[in-house]
Amino acid sequence: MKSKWGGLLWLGLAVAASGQEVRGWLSSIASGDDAQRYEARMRLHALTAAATRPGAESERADLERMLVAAAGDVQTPLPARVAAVRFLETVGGASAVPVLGRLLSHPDADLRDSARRALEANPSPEAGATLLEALGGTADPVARIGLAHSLGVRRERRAVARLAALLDDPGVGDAAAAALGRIGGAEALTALQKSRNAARPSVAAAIIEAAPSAGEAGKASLLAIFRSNGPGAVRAAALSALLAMGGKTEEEVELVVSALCAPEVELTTAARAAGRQLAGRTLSSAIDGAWGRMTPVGRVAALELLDEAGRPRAVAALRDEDPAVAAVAVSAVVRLGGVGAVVALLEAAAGGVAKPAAESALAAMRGGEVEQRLRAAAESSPPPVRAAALRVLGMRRDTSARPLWQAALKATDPEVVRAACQALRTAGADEDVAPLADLALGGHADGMMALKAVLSRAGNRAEAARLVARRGEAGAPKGVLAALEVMPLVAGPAALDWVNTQLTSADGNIKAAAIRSLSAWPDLDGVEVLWKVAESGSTPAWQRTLALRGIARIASAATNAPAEARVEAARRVLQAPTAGPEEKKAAVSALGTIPHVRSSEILEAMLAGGEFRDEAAFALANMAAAWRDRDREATRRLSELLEKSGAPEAARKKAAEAAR
Amino acid sequence: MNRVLSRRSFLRRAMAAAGAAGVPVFVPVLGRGQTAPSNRITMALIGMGLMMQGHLRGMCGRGDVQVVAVCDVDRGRREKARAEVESIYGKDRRSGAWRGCEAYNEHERIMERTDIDAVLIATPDHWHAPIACAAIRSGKDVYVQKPMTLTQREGRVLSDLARQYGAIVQVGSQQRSERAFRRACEIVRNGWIGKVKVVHARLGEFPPPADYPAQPVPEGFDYDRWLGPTPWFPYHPERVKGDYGGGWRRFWEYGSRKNGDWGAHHFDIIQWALGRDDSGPVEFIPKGWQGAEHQMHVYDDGVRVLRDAPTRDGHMIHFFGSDGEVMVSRGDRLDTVPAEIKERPLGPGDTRLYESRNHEDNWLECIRTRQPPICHAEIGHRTATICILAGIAERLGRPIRWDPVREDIVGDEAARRWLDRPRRAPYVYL
Repeated sequence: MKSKWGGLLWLGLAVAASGQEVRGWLSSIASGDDAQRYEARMRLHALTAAATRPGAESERADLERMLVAAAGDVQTPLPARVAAVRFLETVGGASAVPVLGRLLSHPDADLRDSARRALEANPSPEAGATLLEALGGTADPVARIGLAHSLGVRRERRAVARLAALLDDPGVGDAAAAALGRIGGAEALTALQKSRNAARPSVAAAIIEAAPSAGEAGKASLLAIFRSNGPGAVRAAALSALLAMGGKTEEEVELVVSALCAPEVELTTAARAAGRQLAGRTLSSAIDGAWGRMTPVGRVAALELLDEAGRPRAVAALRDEDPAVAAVAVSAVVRLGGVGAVVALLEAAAGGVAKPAAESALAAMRGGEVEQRLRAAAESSPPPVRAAALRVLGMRRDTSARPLWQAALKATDPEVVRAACQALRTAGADEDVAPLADLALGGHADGMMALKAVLSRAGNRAEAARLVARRGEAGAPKGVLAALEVMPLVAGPAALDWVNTQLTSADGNIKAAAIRSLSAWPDLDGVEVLWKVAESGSTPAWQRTLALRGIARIASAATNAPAEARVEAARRVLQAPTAGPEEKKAAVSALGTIPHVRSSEILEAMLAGGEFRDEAAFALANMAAAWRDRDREATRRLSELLEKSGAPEAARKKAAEAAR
Repeated sequence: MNRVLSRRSFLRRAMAAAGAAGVPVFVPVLGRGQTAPSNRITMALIGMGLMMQGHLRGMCGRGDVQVVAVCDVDRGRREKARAEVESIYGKDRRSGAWRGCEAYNEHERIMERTDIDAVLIATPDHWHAPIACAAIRSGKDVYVQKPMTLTQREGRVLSDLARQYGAIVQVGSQQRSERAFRRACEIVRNGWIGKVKVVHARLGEFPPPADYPAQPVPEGFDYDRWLGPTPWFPYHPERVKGDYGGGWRRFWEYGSRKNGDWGAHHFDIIQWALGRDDSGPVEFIPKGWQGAEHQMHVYDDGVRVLRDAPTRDGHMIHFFGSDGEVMVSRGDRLDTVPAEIKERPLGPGDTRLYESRNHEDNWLECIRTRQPPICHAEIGHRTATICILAGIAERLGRPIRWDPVREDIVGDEAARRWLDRPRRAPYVYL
């Protein structure tokens, strides 16, 4: 079995290090050779990491001894002393304190501050006493800031009096305040309150930090800050600290509610966070009583704090004149649940500012009772509520509601019909093609959108095509035109055959619609039919143009078809004697969307010169962008090619960005 | 600073489409010029380097934001940024609607200004927490780039301060605002791939750190402040350079290397998918430990997250479940096994995650609505904790056991010292 440390070579080296090696590495840290310095630093780091592992106390003590010796030796080069002290930050214990203490008064600022940091992290109690002593012995403002801070981090209660004396010192006052805040307790709090600068932000923040550990005196100071006219954020912090300390529920509820009624946004935000601990009947009742005094921001926060007792308030808030409040009330009603929740939400979903939120909420709610109530409302209720229920059942994809949707398609109320269409757009299936086609092919816009959605995911495409065709023919000519529009969504042989037959129609509009229908075909099946149209001598020129553009479009859009076949379709358009410049441009553009070596070759050849040189350049730039994540080499090659060819700047820039 | 409702009066518009789940959803932001100047969120941008370039143009291009200050320790950079802001707002200035953009070396000057509502922080990682904490205490809302903090303890402080002071803090792990990542997390959360066993995440590697010879500090660059709370090292341009391939990101002093870089994105998404936003893993194992081929962290239910283990088709994150797989990447790339679950609609009762379509928009909406943003401070802290602990395990060369409830390292006193870093004076404030 591998050693526990076996995978880490450097650690093995570190464990074996001798005092001589440590001294050698430390002296290398003063070297002028960058690589040597780095190597030494890494080795010392590895040694430190290994020596501080659990159960290696004797190794740690050995290393500490070596580092202390180097740090305290005036013969050690300064960079090496600094490095030794920095490693003592993680290795140092009680025996490092005397040397580190002496270094606190060293003339070099970096060594001095490194020693201070090492003492800050030192677990020995003597380290705190040493820092405190040093604070009294220096007038250097930067050193005093550091020392005050370290005493705060260590929570040295012995330092309170000395730090208090520095509170009004312009150089170190903020650091002393922060340290007193960290140390906390009644003595520190009193010192902070007595400061001439008690209103200064740093002192106010420190009072808030110190107060929770100062008992009743702390509570009183926090309450005073909360009730002051000070900055909102500071008052919010006082409120949070006060509530975190605990107390009588009634008093705490009063504080939260008064914050919810305050205009300062920080207070509202903090009240919302702190109030979660208090949520209950008393808070709900107090919120209800203060509702009229609350700002919209306060109401939004309050709604999140209501418990079951606050259900009526949440339901009433669904009709709040402020849309934000009404929308959040939806969440509250869902969270609080209860018998009337679905009905209340349905009414909100039927109209009003909370409509979208209420619909989304009903769509996501779980439970048999929810479904039952929705179905009942979708069957029989006033039109706006019925429409809302139909929509929500669609959003839930509750296919047991299919009879209700289909029945609603024949309703007299347009809102109900529209809602049924919206539901079927989301949840409709093959069974809905016939009733939707009846509505859609007669010219109903919502019905048409729903029919398209259902056809695009039809399971039995042949049957769907036949159904649409039959109903289209029954409503000819308008019905045929509408059926041709939707047929590409069905596609497949049955749909293609029917569209093909429409190409022979004597009605020019129907024939043109059939060409457009084929042009929108999702696969290459439509291409051969379009070629016949384009090549036929009897086809009027404008229909030939339509067909050629359709082929180019399919070549570009039929992304599931083999790339070679798509390239071939576009190439044929380029070479077609009947193709005009616009059709050829469309074919060039299509080639740019097919990332394939053959399309690239055709476009590169066009780049050499000719009528469509610029179009080819842009198509190649598009191809470079498309290849970006798949073939970096090809992307770079295209970019270089465009750069050399003198292509338009925009094309070169696009390709260069892709290659970057 | 008191910010009263009049400054947030477009709450009405902002919340009009609030979602049913009680969380804010994306609301299209009004185009520039449609928001009255008095209702704009006044903003300061801090750290005008690489990451800020997109933010600056994005924020200056919005009608609901007014950038009034920029801050950087590099005079050339901050003056260039100021000029860019002033150029964009030139028309407003001529009409008297805008008083100009100040450029500061010290972020403290921004905190003193009561007319600034929010700050966007895109400094190197070691300055994130000090600046964000100062901003929160001065009543400002904060967008801070990821990872949220340099140390674990900083994160705890920042998250607590945000809650206590009622600040809206958004952390820049912006993959949460991309559709594919949300959808991937919903698929995992709803159990459509069964019980998750293993997750692979691609972070890549930076070049190792290095020692460089001292060079003169360029004129106009406040190097001492750039180093801030971190230990002093001689100046070299490679140390301070903003570079996605390295620069300061290579150095442990200023971040957690790739764990803090891509880890802050991918580990964040994994936390979201696993429903661990208020918790975290229990063990961190470095690469090389007992021959481990990959860095790994482990959750209490046995889910293992492997760094840089292979993913199909180069995906960024790959979840392996008992009944399927989910693979997700930027650029809206999402693949699943079985394929049908990729398109399966959410049904009643399914878990729907917080929907945000744009990370900056979400933050600004939440400033108005005072709702928690999609990647608020506690989420950012929990994700940064993973990045930081993975880094500590890597540096110590041994596994770390973590208690995510007490937020403490278990059974390794020396490793616990690494949860924070003593700060260099005078940059000690947090």
